[in-house]
Amino acid sequence: MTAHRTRVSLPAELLVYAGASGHMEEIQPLVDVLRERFRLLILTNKTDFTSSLPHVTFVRDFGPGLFNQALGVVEAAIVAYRALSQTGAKVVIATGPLPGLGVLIAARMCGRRAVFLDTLCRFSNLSAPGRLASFLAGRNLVQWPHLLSKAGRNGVYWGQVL
Amino acid sequence: MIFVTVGTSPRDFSRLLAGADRTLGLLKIEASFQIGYSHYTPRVAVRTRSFLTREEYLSEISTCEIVIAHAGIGALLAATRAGKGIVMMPRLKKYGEIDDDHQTEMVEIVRALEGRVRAAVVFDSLDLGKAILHVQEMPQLGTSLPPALAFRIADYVGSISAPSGDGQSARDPPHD
Repeated sequence: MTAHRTRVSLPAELLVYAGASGHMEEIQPLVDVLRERFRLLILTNKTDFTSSLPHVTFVRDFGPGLFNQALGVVEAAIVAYRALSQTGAKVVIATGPLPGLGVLIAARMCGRRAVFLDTLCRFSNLSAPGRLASFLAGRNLVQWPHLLSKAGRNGVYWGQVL
Repeated sequence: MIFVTVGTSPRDFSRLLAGADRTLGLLKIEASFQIGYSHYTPRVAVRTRSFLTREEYLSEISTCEIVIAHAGIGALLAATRAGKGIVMMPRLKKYGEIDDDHQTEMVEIVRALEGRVRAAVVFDSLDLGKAILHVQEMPQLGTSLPPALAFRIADYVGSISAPSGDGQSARDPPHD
């Protein structure tokens, strides 16, 4: 079951991957600030995303398991690649869920700059995407200062979403 | 009024729903329940729904006194931004409620955020009543402002996407 629902206005300056559930709650205050300065395009897995902002919703459910999760990453990369190609967005911001890695891969393929925001809910270690993001994003943002040493050479601590 | 929510996980979390149902019945507190894919039907609920839109979810939070939830960061953030207290119980792998036990880290997160959240974490539903009373006694939160992190990110995005430069600041890694 696939549904790509698209509301895109061209051009966008900034592509934001917002995930769903807790990840959506984490990114919301950032979107509220960023939308005042940049034209945004939101990529989300949230099926009832109702923002007035331009957005692309992708909700294919591949099911559990590593292989299926990898398929989700590939799908996110394809959706993000298309969005970057269509809008010309120069910068990508991605959050915690695994498809965020696909968005970062698309950013690398398109030669765009990327920022990854690891989730506040991982306190003792980085999330799996957070560990890999150091290879893909120019800035790997952690939300706990004690995790900075695990975030790679691109790791930075700029505060929390709360 | 208390709002009980278990989020959108496809796993059952009747352990929390049954505990909240029992506790709120004893305390004679009205409650609204969002039960997700759980099988338990609350008896004390004035409203029971499987899922809510984001608007309905935020509306429930804004009108309740305290939230009872799984230990997810979304629930903590939504309750805190609305100035509400929250009691959280982690989903646990040993009960088949989740794939890993990362929600148990909420204990340390709440401790680290002390003074910025009105929150408590319990592992046993028998402790819900005590936790509700504890959260009720916590001081009210101030007005929720956009986090400084948002402005730092906005400044960074502005610096690397400015048309006047080549987008490569001196501190940026080469592959950025």
